Amino acid sequence: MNALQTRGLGKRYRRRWALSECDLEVPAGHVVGLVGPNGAGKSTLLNLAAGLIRPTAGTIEVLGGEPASGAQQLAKVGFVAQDTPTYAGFTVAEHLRLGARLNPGWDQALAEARIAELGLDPAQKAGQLSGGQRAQLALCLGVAKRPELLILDEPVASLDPLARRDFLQGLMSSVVEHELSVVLSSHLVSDVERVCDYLIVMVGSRIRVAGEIEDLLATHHRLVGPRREASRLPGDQEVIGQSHTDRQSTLIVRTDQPILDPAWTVSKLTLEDLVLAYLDANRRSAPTRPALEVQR
Amino acid sequence: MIWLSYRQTRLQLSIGLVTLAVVAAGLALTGPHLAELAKTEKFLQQASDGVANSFLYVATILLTYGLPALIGGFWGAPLVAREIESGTHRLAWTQGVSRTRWLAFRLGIGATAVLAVSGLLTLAITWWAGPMDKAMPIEGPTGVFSFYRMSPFLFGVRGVAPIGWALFAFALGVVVGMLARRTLVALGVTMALLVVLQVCVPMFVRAHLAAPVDAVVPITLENLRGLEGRPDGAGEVTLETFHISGAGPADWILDDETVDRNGLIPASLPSYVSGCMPEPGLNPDPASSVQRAKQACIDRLSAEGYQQHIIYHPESRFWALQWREAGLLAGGALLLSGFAFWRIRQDP
Repeated sequence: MNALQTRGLGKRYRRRWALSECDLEVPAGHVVGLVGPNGAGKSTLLNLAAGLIRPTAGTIEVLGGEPASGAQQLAKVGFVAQDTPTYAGFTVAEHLRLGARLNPGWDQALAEARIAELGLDPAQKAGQLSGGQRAQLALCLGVAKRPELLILDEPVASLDPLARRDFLQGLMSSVVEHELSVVLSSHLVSDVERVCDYLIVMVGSRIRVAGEIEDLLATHHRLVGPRREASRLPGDQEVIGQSHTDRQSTLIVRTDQPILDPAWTVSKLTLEDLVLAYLDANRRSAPTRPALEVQR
Repeated sequence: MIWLSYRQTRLQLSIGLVTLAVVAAGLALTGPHLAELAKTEKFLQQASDGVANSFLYVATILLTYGLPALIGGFWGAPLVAREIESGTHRLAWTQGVSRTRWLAFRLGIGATAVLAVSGLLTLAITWWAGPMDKAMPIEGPTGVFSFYRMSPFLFGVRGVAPIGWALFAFALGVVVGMLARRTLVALGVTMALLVVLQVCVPMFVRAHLAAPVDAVVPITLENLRGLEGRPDGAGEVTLETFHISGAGPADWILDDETVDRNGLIPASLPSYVSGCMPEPGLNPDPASSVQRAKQACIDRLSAEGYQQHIIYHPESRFWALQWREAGLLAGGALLLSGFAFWRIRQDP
């Protein structure tokens, strides 16, 4: 079964398409990283998957069902929204109670253990927690629901590096323990690199590339050699990025086939190089777009 | 969901219950004494001498009028708007409970609490003010007690109408909050709409809730209350219409006009009619020459075919109209809830 499957999926807000022509087929059992600059449509895709909004075009299936189509579907999908919203006036314990009352598969022992492990005071109001603690509380709600798929929208965006590491570690331990599928978005490649085994790159409301990270790294190459036009490459080599000096060309290509031309010096890409190549390609094709932000 | 709904209504509910308790205590302390006093002569005069009575009478009217705006603004408006504003709808609506169910519980439990608070409040106030409202038609306006319960002003703060208003206000607040998506905006818009409706319903809607009594009655010396005219621009007054007490003083008079023998409203009345008006003062001697002249004037008026056309809701219809107004508003609340259930399924 696919964790996430979309066909021609699109979402329009007034005149602007936040997501368009999105075709995806992500098998269950992966930890999927969704990367792209701010405003690329990541949140839109995840909100569609959580069933908070409905598509303008195309279809989306999550774990084989229409998002938020009923209590059963809702119970299968955990969602930690952007900025990890919690009720400021509720205590930590009341959040757990909320989770227990609203979710048939709620695991109270797990929730309590996590809260204790994090050192959170159950009597403390969520409004008084730090950003990192609040994110952990939201994650705890998502995990203790015991979903089959956990969707996290920029869960670590507002966290400092230490809290970020703790959060991702907590997430990974749950993944291992409960055989969760996870989709998490981030605008940082480093977060994805640390925990994900499947990558989706989104730019300008479209999916640029999606696949298992291992496969992606195996099929993308950097070619360095004497200056040559990209159009003169063999047909099975898709050029993602290129840069030229007077005498030398550097190309980033995607191909399943071995590269035989001895004129090229072939080297592997890091995940960040790969993502940057896709982001960069988009910037070249649409020069009016504001500069994309990729941090490490 | 019951627990969550209660938890998110707790603050408003406790404020409502505290208000209710304070008001109920005030009414319970003075009510039994008023009920006793009502058995005596000149009851209203005695009642208005008590500062506490006058204060409670006015305060409960103001509170009941303010109740819809308070409930709509602080109870209804934040219900969805606050969730969207703080982003917590993304938490609440992605738990194992569908949005429709979430709304059903939030609305259902909220409406039950609104019903309880407004119901107990208005019943207590109606019970407390009962002796005064009953004595009004007999003793006439006295002190602060200057409105009949059928009058547009007092009708809306007695009986079951306030319950209808409270439920409607709650549903209106929820819907406005869903559309405005910001608590403060929703609060302001809800309150403003409610004030407008509280003015418009008595003015334009209430009279049509039941068919009023429509009667043409003779003008007599006894029922004549006043004469209305208009300056004609030349220093003279054109006499246009009489006012009579054809209905009881406690009835709600919608229309009261003099008509001629054809049943039409005349442009002006003959000038002699100013002589028909009774002298101020009680029980003039019918045998006196002044009274006989006035009787002759009235007789001439009748002979010329002048009669009085009155349209009114008699005081006896008080409860029928009360239930209809409450029903209308409750129906409005249901319609608004229906819209809310449709809207919740759309994108937030």
